[in-house]
Amino acid sequence: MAVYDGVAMAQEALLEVAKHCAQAVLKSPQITGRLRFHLEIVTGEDLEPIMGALAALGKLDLFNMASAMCWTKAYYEGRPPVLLLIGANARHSDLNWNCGACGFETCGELNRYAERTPPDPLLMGDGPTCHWLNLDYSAGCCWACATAWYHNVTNRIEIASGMAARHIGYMPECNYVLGLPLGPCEDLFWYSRSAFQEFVSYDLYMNNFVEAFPSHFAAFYGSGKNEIKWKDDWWTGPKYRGLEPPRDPSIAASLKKEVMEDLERVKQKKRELEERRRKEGG
Amino acid sequence: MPDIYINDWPPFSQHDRNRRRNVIEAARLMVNAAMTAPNAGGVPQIEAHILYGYEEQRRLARKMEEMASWNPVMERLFKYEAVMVRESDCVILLGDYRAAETPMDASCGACGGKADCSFLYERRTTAIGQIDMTQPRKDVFVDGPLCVVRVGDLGFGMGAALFMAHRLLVDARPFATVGLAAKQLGYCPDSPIVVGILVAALAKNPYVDINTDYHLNNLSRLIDSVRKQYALARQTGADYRISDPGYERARQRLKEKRRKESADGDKKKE
Repeated sequence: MAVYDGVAMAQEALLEVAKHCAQAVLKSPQITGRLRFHLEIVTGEDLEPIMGALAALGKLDLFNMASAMCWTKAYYEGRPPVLLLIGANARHSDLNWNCGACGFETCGELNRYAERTPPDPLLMGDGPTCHWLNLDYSAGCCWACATAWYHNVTNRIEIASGMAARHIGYMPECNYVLGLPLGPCEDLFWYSRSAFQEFVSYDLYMNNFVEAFPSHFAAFYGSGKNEIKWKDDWWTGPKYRGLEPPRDPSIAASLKKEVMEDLERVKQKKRELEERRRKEGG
Repeated sequence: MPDIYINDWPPFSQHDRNRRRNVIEAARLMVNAAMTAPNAGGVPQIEAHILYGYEEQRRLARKMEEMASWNPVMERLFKYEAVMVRESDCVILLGDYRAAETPMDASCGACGGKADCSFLYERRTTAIGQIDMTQPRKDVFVDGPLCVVRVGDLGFGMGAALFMAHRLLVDARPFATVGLAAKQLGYCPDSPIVVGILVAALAKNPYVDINTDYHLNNLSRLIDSVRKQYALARQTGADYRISDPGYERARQRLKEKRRKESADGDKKKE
């Protein structure tokens, strides 16, 4: 007989749940019966490069930063989630249904377009995509989420962690990878994200809201000018009039370059980790 | 006490309809699962139908058979799966009404491999980012290109519905052909892409163990063959009121049985 720490055991069991989720993906019914899933489970210190990549990509998109913050919080609190990576290649179709959903008249045209279109290195998904394979892929991901749910493990299917993993070398054969964080063991960790909210001030939150729904905050339009009530005493100081001019494309280009360099550094760390593990015989 | 008698035979009898009603309850839960499935941004985008009844299923199956001639590669799929539509207890149709008209606009690259949505927008009639879908193409099964993220979300909905079926122990399988035909019939009117999920609670899962030439050799056809053959075969019969060979044979069998029993009794006495 023995006494176990229940919380620690619950944390330990996340890996087992990840295995069940992987089984669910492979069991999921398909329309085509032809989609081949690629699955990897990332745990422990192997999550560090992924978190690094998420932080780098967070410079480009807020949702990556939100994910990075949640991962980091759980990891450094000593209760790292387990990451199930679900990948597939829907960039090539051998269905020959010629249905038109992808935008091409035939599957052959889709395949030829895919061959001559090298994907942008920072894409979330390397298109083009066969939609029937895409449906099967998504259904498989859904089965993984549902399985985690039935095991009472909090989870949230993410573009962010899947993309981060793909950018640092996971699943190079897949054109689309989603990440499914499993855990930490608490209710709905990946929703109402406290880790994220700690860093978002009221003003930043409301500025985003004003930008998203300017008409909701619009003043009287009779002047013919679109005045936006963007602060409490909105009648004082500068008023938003219409949209900001588009950003200078050189700023976006330099940011992208910076992110690529960050990702390269993360990849190097991943390689070092793998090398160290090889030496240790792991 | 109320009594709900359930038996799957004959099809569409009152007691079979009792059974089918249970499956429709399962289908309702499946659709709910689809409506609340994970999706990108929590954006509402799924529309659904639950289709059931002899006439409704036959109409859909007929459309699929008609469409078989439209595409030689899918011909057999349409024909085989039309049989399954007839054999099902009900049909769920799921569509994504945002897949063409209001894409995710996330510059994800999954539609055309570029870090923007140009692949989709350049192939549509648009005005300042608004897509005009008032005149969809009719010469293709699906008027693409579609937003990959939205179709992916439809896949999540489909997966959730199937997972619910799995939990409820009803047989279910997703089909492209069913959705394509349903779209032609006007179901999910706002969606450019529709998926059909067939649902059944029968002794034999009607979506597996499919014999070849299934559109010609299936239970319904075999039953019809029996009806056809039997109508002919019975015509060798006589006027049973005057002459009934079966009755004579039965009397002989009875006599024989009694004779044997009597002989066995004699042996035991000895």
